[in-house]
Amino acid sequence: MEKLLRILEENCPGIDVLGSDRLIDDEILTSLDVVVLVGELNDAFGVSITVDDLVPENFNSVQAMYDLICRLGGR
Amino acid sequence: MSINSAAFLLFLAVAVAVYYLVPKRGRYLVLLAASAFFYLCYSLKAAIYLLFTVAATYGAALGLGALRRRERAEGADAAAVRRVWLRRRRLALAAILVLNFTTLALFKYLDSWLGTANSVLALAGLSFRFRPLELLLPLGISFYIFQTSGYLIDVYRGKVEPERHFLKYALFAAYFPQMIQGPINRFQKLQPQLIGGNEFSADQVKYGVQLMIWGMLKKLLIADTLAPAVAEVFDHFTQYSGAVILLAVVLYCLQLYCDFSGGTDLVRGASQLFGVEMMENFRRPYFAHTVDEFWRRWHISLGEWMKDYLFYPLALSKGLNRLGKALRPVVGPRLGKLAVPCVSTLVVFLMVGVWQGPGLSNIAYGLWNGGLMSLAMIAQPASAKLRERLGIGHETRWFRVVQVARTFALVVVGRYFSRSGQLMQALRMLKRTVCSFGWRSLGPDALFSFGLTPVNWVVLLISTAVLVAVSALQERGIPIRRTLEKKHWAVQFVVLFVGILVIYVFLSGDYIPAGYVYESI
Repeated sequence: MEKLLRILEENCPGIDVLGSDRLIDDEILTSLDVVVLVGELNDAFGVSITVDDLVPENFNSVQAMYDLICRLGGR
Repeated sequence: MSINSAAFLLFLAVAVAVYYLVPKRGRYLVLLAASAFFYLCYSLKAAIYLLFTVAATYGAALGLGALRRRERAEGADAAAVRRVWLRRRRLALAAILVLNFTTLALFKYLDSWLGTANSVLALAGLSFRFRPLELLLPLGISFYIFQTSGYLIDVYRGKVEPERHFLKYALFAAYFPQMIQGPINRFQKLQPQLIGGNEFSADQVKYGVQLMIWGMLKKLLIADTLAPAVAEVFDHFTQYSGAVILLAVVLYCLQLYCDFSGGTDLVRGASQLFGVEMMENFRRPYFAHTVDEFWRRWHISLGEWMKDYLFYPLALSKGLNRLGKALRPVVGPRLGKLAVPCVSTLVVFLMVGVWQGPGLSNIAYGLWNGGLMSLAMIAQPASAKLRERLGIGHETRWFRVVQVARTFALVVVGRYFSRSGQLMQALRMLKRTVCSFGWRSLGPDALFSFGLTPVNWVVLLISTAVLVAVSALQERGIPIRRTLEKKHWAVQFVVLFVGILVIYVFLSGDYIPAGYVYESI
C-alpha cells in the first residue's frame, strides 16, 4: 500500500486521493491521469492492467486500486 | 421530417399515445414502427442503408458471441490456445469495424477524395477527371455507426451478451430520437429501457415536455437567429473587419452550442415521453476551466466513446508504451512518461477532427485541441510553480474566472478552423482578426452590418441572458425542473405557457424548419 501511495503522490500532485472513494465518478482523476498511473503501476508492481480493467470501480479509491493490483498478482 | 416542426410534434404525440395504449410486451414494437416511419419519411435509400448496417452488425455480434461460447466450451486453458481464439475474435471484430467505418468514410469523404485526386491529375497535366458521385449522406450515419461499433466492441470484450432478437436489436440501432445527432448511447444502458415496456409516468412526461420546450427555444431563438448572420461573415470574411470576424466566431460558438445541445435536449425530452432516458451530451461546456474539462462537458457521448474504444486501447498498447520507455533516456523520465497520453490524445483528437468532416481545417481543429491538452499536461508543473511564486491560490474566485475566460478564448480559436471548412480561409480569418482588427469599425453600425436586425439582437440578448442564468444555477447544483415544480402552480403554468407560445409563434409564422449542424455529419 505504501508503494501505491508513493506512486499516487508522485503522479497526481495536489490531489487528495485518500479523501474520496469517487475519484473517477467525481472527475478528480481524469482519463489522462489514469493512463499515466496505469503505466507506473504496471512497471512498479509487475502487473499488466488491460483495457478491460479500466472501469471506474477499479480506480475510484486507493483501496480499489490496491485490490486490483493484488488481483492481478502484483508484487 | 424536421424535429423542430409541427409535423414532428404531431407524429410524436401519436407515437406516445399508441405506445401507452399497447400492452407492455408489445411496446418496443411501437417504438420500432415509429423509428421505421420516421426514417422512411427522410429517405428510402438511407433507410435501406440503415437496414444493411443493422443486419451486418447484428450478424457480426452473434458471430463474436458464438466465438466466445466455443472458446469457453473448448475450455481454452493453455495460453497458446487462448491466443488462437483471441486472434479469431480480433479478426472478426476488425473485419466488421473496417466494413462499418469504410462505408462511413465513403459516404462522407469520397467526393472530397475525388476532388483531391482531380487536383493531382491537373497538376500532372492530365485531362482525365473523376466525376463527383454526390452520394446522399444518410441521416445520423455517424451516430449509428459509432453506436453499433461500440456495441460490437463490448460484445468482443465480453461486457455484453449479443442481442439475439433481430427486431429488438434493430430498435437499439435505429431508435428514432437518437438518429438526428445522437447521443451515442450504450447498449447496457439503453436496451433494457427500450424493450422493457415502460409504465406511464405523468412526471416523466412532464419532464420530457419541459426539456423539449427548452431545447426548441435554444434552437429557434438563438441558433436559427444566428445561423444566417454567422454564415454571412464566414462566406464574405474579406468584407469585414477583424473585430466583426471575431464577433461572428464568438456568436458561432453560441449558435453551435444552442443548435447541438438544443437538438439533444429536444430528442432526450422526446425519449423521456416513452420513459427512455438517453445519455447526457452537454454539461454547460463554456463554464469549463480547462480545454480537457471542456471536452468532458461537450458532446459527452462522443468523448466517452473515444475514451473507451480508442484512447484507452491506444494508451495501453504495447507499441506505444515501448515508445514511451524508449523516449525516457532521450527526453527525461517525466516527458517519457507523458509521451503515451500525449500521443494518444493527439491521435484521438485527430480522429475527432476527421469525424467532423474532410479537409485540412478539420485536421487542424483536432490537432489544435489535442495539442493544447498535451501542452497542458507537459506544462503542468511549471504552471503550478508559477502560480505558487505569484501567490495565486488555485481556488480563488477571480483565478477561476480567468481560467474560464482563457478556455473560452482557446475554444473560439479552434472554431475558426471547424467552421470555415478550408484551412487557408481559417488562417486568413485569424490573420485578419489579429492584424486588421479595426478598432474604429467597432460601434453600433458593426452590430447590424452582417444581417442581424435590432429585433434579432433584443431576442438574442434576452434569450442568452436566460440561458446563462439557468446554466449558472445548474452549475451551482440547483435542479431547475425540480425547483420549478415547488413553485405555485400559476408560476409553473406561466413559464410553460410562455415557452409554448414562443414556439407556436415561430412554427406558425413563416419559419422554415432549419436543419441541425450535426445531422449532416
